[in-house]
Amino acid sequence: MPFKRQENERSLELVSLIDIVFLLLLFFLVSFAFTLAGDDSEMKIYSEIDLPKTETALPAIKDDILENLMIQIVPDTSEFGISRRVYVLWPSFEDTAKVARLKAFHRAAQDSTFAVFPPDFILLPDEEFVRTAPCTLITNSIARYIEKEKFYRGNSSPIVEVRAEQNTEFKIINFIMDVCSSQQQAIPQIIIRAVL
Amino acid sequence: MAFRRLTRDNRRLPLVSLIDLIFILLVFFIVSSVMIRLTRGESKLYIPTPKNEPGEAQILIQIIDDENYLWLDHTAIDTLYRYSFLLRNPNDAAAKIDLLAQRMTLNPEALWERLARLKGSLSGGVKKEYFVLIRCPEYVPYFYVTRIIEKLVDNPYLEFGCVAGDIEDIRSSKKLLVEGNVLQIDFSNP
Amino acid sequence: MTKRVIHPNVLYFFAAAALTLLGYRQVQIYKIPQVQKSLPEYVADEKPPPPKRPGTRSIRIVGPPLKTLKFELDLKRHPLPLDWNYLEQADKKADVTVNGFIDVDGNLVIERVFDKGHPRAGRYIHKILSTWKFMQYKTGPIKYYFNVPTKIEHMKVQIDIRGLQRNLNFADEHDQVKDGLLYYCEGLKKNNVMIIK
Repeated sequence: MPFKRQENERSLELVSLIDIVFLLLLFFLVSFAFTLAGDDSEMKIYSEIDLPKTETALPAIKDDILENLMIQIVPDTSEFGISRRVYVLWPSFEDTAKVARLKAFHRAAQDSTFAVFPPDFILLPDEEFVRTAPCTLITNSIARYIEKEKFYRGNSSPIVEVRAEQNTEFKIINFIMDVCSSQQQAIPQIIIRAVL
Repeated sequence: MAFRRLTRDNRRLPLVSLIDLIFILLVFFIVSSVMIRLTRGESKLYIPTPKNEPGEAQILIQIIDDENYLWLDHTAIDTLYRYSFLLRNPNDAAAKIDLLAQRMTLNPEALWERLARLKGSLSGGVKKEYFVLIRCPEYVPYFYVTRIIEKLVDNPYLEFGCVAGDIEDIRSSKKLLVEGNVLQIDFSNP
Repeated sequence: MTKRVIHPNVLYFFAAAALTLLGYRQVQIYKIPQVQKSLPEYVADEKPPPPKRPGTRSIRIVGPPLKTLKFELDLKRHPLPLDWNYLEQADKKADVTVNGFIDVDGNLVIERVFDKGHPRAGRYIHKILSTWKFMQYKTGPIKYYFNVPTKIEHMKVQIDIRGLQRNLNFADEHDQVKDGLLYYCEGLKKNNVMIIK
């Protein structure tokens, strides 16, 4: 029997076409939602070296439970100029009630365990700088934290964590390190949180 | 069971399904890559606190400013010997530091390259332990330090520390001397 | 179409092999000493050592250990020994001075031999010294004085190396360069030689 080539009429199938159209619709909807979710400044957060700029611009954190004393430094803008605000976030010393970092942050704001550097703090001589409210807060908090750690957890080498906006002056970080090393029971290392 | 004979027509890939598949894959990769970026967490950099004592290191990185980093390692001793004829007063610490700053200052690109080379040289083979000290001026943002430390953290042979101080402390050093394979610098205003 | 079935014997074979391997593993675990099987308590409780901490007062930038190099005759390049007994026999009153230069490759280039009245001794010394080659850590002028008749200690051979300088191609500035064997004389005691530095 001679073979006869069958010439089919080429046409788009309706069901598949609808499928594609819906896929495209879905894609544009999702991509539009992502465009709205983040502008350029927020995308910068995820670069290798940058650190969080504000509390709200943080990426999702998996280990969000606060286990150590955390000193959080955020920018502070007042009529006198731009400065730094220091929050001291306390962990829970009872194992049953671990505290989330965000909750601790709100608690610090409520309990006023924060202080603001004067705008010209970078120019202050060392003797005056250590007498500023945030420095006193940091010194007292670390001393109290060491005592509490020893009393509640029997921990002789507590850890202090620092979480700061990327442009925070090294002077503040260095002060925290100095306080940790100068305590009677020295803290040999601190943790600085950085965004991966 | 009767087999359907393959003809030219039913052997061809259906175009619509192919496009469908490609779009599904495209959407999947785009969405998943965005999601991965969004769920990035924070890393913890363990940084040793400084002691008010003399210190020892193999490399000193002095941050001068955004664009300039002074890298001092044992090759500074060679540099001092080689260019000592340029010094009017061989005991002038400031002149020596100026000489070293002239010869051993790196820009950020060169610094990253040097750090990568250091890390590469310490992987495997003979175990050499290096301590890298980073000195950072107080007014400089601290991420200048953390971005250097981030390049050093995942090598077990590398230790690091950071202290506050600027190049002027080194320039006005009361003591800058070379003894054998050791270059000692006293910081005047630590 | 026929259905393919794995023969039961093949399954038995695999089962037997798996059991044998498991048994072997168990025996090996049993052989491990008890100490290695579990972490001792003191290790489990041990905390990681505290990190090395930086100092704020001063810094010692420590380089790799220094090399100590020995500047001496390179015996691998086969220098000939100067036979002192032969020299004494050849000319009992020999008094010869050799001005030489050690080039960057360590060769002793003889520039001039002062052997007035003692040509035989001069020729012999020239022939021997021409074969002397040094390690390449120093370069520059060198002088040899040979005085056969003298009875004064340290005066039979004097070697003046005051003109030698470090050869930077082979010895870095901070490497330590010590002087080793600068002559190769047989039949001559050490206390007859003086090195002028």
